[in-house]
Amino acid sequence: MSGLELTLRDRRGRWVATLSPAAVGRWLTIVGPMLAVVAAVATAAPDGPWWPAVVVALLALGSAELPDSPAPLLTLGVAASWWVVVAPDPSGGPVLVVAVAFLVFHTATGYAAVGPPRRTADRRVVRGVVARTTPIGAATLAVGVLAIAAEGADVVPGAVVVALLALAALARLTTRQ
Amino acid sequence: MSGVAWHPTHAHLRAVTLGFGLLLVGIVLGRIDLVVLATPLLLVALAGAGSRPRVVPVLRAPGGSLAVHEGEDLLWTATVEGVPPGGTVAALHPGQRWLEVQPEDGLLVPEDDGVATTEIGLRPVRWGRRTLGAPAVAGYDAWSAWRWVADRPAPLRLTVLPSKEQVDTTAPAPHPHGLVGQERAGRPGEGTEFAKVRPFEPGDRLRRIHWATSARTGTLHVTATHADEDAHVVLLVDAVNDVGASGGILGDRSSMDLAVRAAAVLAEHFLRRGDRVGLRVFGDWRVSFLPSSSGRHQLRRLLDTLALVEPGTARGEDALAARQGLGAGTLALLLSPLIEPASTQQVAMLTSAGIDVVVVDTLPPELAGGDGPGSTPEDRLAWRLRMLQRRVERDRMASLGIPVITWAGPHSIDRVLRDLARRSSTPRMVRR
Repeated sequence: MSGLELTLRDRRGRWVATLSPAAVGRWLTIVGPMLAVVAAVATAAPDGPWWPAVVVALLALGSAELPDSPAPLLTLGVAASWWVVVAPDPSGGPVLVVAVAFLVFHTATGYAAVGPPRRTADRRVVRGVVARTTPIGAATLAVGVLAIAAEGADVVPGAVVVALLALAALARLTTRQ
Repeated sequence: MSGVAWHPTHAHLRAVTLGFGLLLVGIVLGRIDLVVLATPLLLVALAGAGSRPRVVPVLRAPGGSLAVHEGEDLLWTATVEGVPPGGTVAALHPGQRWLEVQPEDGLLVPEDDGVATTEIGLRPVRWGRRTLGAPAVAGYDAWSAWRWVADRPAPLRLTVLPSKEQVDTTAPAPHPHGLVGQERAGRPGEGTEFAKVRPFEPGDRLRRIHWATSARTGTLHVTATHADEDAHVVLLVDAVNDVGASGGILGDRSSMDLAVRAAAVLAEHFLRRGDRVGLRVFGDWRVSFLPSSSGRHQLRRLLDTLALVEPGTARGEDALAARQGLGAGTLALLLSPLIEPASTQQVAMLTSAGIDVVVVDTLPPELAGGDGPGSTPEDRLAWRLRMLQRRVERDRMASLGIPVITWAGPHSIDRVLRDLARRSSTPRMVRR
């Protein structure tokens, strides 16, 4: 054990796991969003089967250990499929939660996959990741609020897509040098 | 330059696949909630695609050979130029036995004006010559969507010299024979140390005239001095066996650790005094002999040679080899764990040739008094028997007037050198 770090080893002295603030933070930002997805799906479809929740949680644990692999893609794919199947008539709140959770999960696994596992990261790198993700989160919330507002009205998804693409093109044009 | 060197990451492929997949499914099924779910991934995918770097970064990392002392820190720095805005660079230096790396698991640094500099601390903890592993360096764009992996830079080749703790001894080395150095010779001559005031003789230098005595006695008197001379010291390192496990400079010490570090300390001590020091290694096929010389360059040659020692790579050397090139009056310091009976024979041979021998016992104390390196009861019994024999051999050498000291740091040798200096003034018979 050194400082706030606790290294677990087996009887032969081989490394098993390291518990450190960085490792705990990584686990929270990767597994936490998927637990939020599980809670949101349970809220949106209380009568749905329980076992997909276990599968998603296990895949999230795998993603935390292997962020630079197809595991996070599989996790998001399973979670999205579960949502598609069990929540045919979703209400507004859970959709926003799941969308933001997807973003946090994707960003956290993407960040964890940069460089060797358990590497030391500069604070400026973390600040940069947060700064770049925040506008996307805000845009997601804006689109979600737009979708909730349009609920009941006869808005086709294609119109939202066109609006979204127009928004992206506008952002691209205004920020390009 | 093109961006061919940049490859998409799993994160980018994930964002593209799921973002567009969910969007497509949402449109097909007419579900707006799926469009909302697809939004963040789609935006990240678009941002990643838009930030694809066009320039191939350039890595500058040091390679080549380097000489450091064990326990000394050095910094491995890699500079990457051409990192895209907001990008990062990850670096990992592989560790190996007797090399501490900080940070051990690599580090991630952001770019600054297109340049990212990674600094990794290295600390070799045991003497020897070794080639380090090749470090790994990779670059990422701002969205971690594209990765560039650098060609592995050339690994460092380290010559880790043994640590040299300074000896603070004032004892003179016995048998000074040369013409320069700091030792006081037994005969009068040109030097700095006062011997006596004696009447003037033809040939005396005028600046030696002692005016006070000359005025008092009415005849000229001069100040006589002892000659300043050097000593010839040879370090004999027994590398036939390396007993015990080495844990580096701060961990457990093997017999070779003690021998090599003691040799470095003694070499520096005698060379600093202006003496001539040579080295002979037994039990190593690569290094066997370094001729005696003096000066700072000789110290570096000695340390380099000691760093090359590979114990147990040559066996069955002739015991007479220890005597080659050594004459009466040489001070021979034998650094040995006294495990092989051959080392005792060498001591006897050197002593009978009129060479002053000091035996420095380099067997770690915990091994001398413990069960030894073996694991079975038979091994332990054999070790204890050998230790009993060894004790008898040590006592026999001591009874013959051969100093045997257990190395417990640089000050161990001080008392023995004083005894030898006194003993060297008494006449004795030697075999030629």
